[in-house]
Amino acid sequence: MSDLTIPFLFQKSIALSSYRDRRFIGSEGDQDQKLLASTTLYIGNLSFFTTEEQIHELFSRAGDVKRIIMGLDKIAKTPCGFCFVEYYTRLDAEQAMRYINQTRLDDRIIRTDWDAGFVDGRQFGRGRNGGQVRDEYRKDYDPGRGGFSKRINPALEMEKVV
Amino acid sequence: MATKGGRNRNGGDYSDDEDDDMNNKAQQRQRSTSRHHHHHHHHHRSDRRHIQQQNQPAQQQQPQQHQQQQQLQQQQAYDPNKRRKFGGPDGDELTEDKLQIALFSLGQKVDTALEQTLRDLCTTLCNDLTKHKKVILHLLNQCVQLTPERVTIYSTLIGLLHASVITFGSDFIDTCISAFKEALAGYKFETIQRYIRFLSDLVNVKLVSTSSIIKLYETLLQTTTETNVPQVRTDFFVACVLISLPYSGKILSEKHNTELNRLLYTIDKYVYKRSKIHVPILQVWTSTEPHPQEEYLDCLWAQIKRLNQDEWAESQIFRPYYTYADTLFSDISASIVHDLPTIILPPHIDALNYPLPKIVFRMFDYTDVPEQFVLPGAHAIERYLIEDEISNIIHTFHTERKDCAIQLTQIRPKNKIPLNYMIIEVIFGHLFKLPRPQHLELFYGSLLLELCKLQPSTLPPVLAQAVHMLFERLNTMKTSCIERFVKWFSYHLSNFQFTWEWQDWINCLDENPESPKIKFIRETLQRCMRLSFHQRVIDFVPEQFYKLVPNKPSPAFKFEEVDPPLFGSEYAQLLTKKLRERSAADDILRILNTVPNPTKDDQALSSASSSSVANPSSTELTYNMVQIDLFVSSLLWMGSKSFTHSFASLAKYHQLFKVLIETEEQQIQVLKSMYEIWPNHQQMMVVLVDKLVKTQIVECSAVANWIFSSELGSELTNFYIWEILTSTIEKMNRQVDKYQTELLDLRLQLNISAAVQASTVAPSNPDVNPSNEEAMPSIEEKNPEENKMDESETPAAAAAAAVDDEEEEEKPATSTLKRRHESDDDDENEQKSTEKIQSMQISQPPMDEATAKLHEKYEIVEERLSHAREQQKKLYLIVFQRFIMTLSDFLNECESKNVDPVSTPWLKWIIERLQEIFILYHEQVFQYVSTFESLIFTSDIDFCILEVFQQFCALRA
Repeated sequence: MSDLTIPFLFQKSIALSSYRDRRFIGSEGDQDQKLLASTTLYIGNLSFFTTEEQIHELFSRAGDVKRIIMGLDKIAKTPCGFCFVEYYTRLDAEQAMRYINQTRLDDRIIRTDWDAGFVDGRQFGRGRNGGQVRDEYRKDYDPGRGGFSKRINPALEMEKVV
Repeated sequence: MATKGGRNRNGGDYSDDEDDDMNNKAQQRQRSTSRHHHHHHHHHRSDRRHIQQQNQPAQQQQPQQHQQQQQLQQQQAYDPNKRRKFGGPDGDELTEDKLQIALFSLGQKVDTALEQTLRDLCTTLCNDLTKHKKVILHLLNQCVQLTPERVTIYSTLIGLLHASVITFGSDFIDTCISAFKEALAGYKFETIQRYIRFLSDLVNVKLVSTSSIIKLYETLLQTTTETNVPQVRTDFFVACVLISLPYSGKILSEKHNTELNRLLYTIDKYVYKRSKIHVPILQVWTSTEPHPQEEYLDCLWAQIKRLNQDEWAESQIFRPYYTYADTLFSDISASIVHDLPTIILPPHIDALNYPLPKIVFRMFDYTDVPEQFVLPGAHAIERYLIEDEISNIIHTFHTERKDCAIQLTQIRPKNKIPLNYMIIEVIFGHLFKLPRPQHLELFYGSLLLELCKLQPSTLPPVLAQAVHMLFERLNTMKTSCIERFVKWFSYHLSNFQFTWEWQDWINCLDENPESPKIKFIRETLQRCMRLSFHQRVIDFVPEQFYKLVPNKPSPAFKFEEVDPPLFGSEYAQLLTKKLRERSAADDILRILNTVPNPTKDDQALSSASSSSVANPSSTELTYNMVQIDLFVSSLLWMGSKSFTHSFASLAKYHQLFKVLIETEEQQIQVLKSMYEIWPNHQQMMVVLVDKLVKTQIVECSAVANWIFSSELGSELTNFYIWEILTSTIEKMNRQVDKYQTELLDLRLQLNISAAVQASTVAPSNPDVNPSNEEAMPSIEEKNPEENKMDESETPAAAAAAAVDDEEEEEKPATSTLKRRHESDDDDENEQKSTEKIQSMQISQPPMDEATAKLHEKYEIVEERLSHAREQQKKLYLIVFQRFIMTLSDFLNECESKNVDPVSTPWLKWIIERLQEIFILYHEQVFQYVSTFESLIFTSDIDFCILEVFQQFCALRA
């Protein structure tokens, strides 16, 4: 990183997104403070089949990876499409935000976001079926994420919306 | 990994809907980002300060905090809390934020509106100038420093202001010169160069006198007469003149032709007498066909000479100032042309790292581009000017890849110049730059993705053409560059569903398996597999390529697979059973102690009699290779399911490793056992060696010796071996850097505490904070528990570790909370406020006790640093020695077989790796260069090896 970079005001890719973990223990200020100093990223929209090795291969290109925590289905204990990547330094985590967010891994456009730091239990999906909540509201057929949404009857759900 | 076979993939996940979906989300996020921005900004800023204060004043010198500091400085200048409102009354107020945005965005899009924008901005600034002069001057200087690609737009704005406000010119020159002098004093080479070019352009808006620019150039060129200074120093100052001449040459030739010619004569003399021994080590290709890879100063000088012959006429520089001729150049204009004060160049210092010389990367000429385009020749100034503009944009926007791509596509080249070809050429030039690219390799890859997205029909074909051309030139391409090419290409393919015209490369498949083209394909497929999975690679390559597809990356457990079973198999069975049951280290050791030594039966007996972890050294036994092999093999086999499983195994039995492994021979055995389990999983070996070194099970020197051992002989040309070696060397270097930084930090604290003691009676505390130390990975940490924390084996342990971290951070957080409020009130002088708060902390121990502790700590760190430097030197010594041995053996073998070594791919792969190590770590290697010269690079070694050393030495000569 050069010492001549554009003013911080213009550095959009490392700014915080609007997402906040609602189960975070502490005030929103605390959470923001943690996010702004964090070296941990949340990675979303992964395929259920994407392995830790693949994630490591991509994310180590942004810096030295400290650890990867795979997101697991609460019930089945199998990968459910997200993970946390922790770096040793803030700078490396920023590079991942800058250059990996919205690029492809395993043929899917993945999303990276700041995370306040891994706490035990966060590796599990928070949906009612054990996976991620977003997979319960999705309407499309996504073979990388277990096909259709796991809600009992997707057609019924559709009707409700309409 | 087992689940992969069950992947069900059809077209569904390739749909574009997903992209749209993501784009929408991205837009939403961007909106919310700006909404949150003010908030964010504030927190970020205070947060940075928080970090800084923990470190106390020493942070000024710490390189890895430079970035943070930079951001902090930028943010301090725009503190939202103390932001003054200015501009017109209600509603339309102009804040510093708005001003910064207006100034920084100026010219990001060059269109017809620019003319009016410039006039409006000039009017606005004029209105506020009396009230907010300081801020405006500061922001203008920042723009000049940070956005070199728009230099002429800012000189136009400054020229307009100069023409409108009588005092502006001298005020601006004052600020500008003081910033320039500061850059000179700090040897900030990039900034210096940008200022010289900018000042040169100011002659075009009649702000700076032509005679004083001539004088400035004369000062710079005086360095050509200095004696006992390295060439890189003179090169730098000569280059400053050369890059400025396209901007000032025309006007200087009109007004000071004699002086200008004298300057050019001096440059000419200098350029021809320069040494060029360093050139081969920096070239991307070892051949000059089809394009010579010129030394940058040679090339630039040729371009300037051509420009001079053309009477300084060029068409590429965007010069908006000519639009305002009536304002800027009219005879009735009252503005005064200013003389620059005399500039004195900073003296040469031996320890200084001047910019290394460069090579001009060229891969296209006019025959490569479609007929409707004209690519300027190698020595046309337009070629340089566009390359420079592209480079500057890349540099300015490297933190925002999307903006970067947009800015690049907005360049408006004149005369049918094929912009996309030039962009691709410059990006590859950056990516392949030796010793290393300026920015992260991943950045260039992501930038190319964005460019493909922005221009989906025009850019990808040029990129594909470039890949084919690079592929055709692989035979003479440097190994480091081939490696970067592989890494980029595999990444690029992974973003395009691995779609590629593989058929085009089918006719090279019969080449020597070690030949560059085959190696390139093989390594690319390896990296593609690392980004996807084995079956995916099989699916996307034609059948003829199967022989180059890597093996399935499965583990191999030798104790299970051979019939008749290997010696020790029964123990392996027992061990794996115990490991599966997660038995305690004691139990494992007990089993290991029953393993007889196949070579020394006596020792086996004695080791069998000792069966306690508590006193393993009581019987002076060292564990034999069979025992270590059994343990490591079984452990890695049991943890073979994933990285996490392997790391967890290593962490769980870390203590046992510490008991078993003492000597380097034993450490090498660990690596050998690992290799036997994972010969087909290169990435696994890379991450395992990384962990073994980080957790101090294995030392760096053992890794180096293992890499050059006979067992790995056939692997030596494979890229992952060098991935392991460079990552090991880097960990060693980081270790030394870490202690160096700590020492510097402590030294400053000691100075301050001495000063505070002398000047104040109030008790104060220099406050050594334990929590900021472990930000960098440590390979040398004395406390194994701490390492284990890093390598947490289970989520629960991880959580516990995380809690520990938090607790450690809590303490300084509360103590700095006070300071933060304090310094927010008193933003003028950070230093002062910090001291003030220190003196307010009355509950601290007495001064002398704290200082004594500091001294004690200083000595400990000093000791650690000197030890680390010893190890670093030893590591390089081993690496170079092993290189020489391996290369010499090979050369001897060739001689005995009557083979020309130069014709073998092997020599290329290895000798270029030697070059790579030299230049990648030139800063470290130079510290020990005299030792290496007298001990190992002596005249009796083969010239092809010695030559590399000489080229390396010439880099800084």
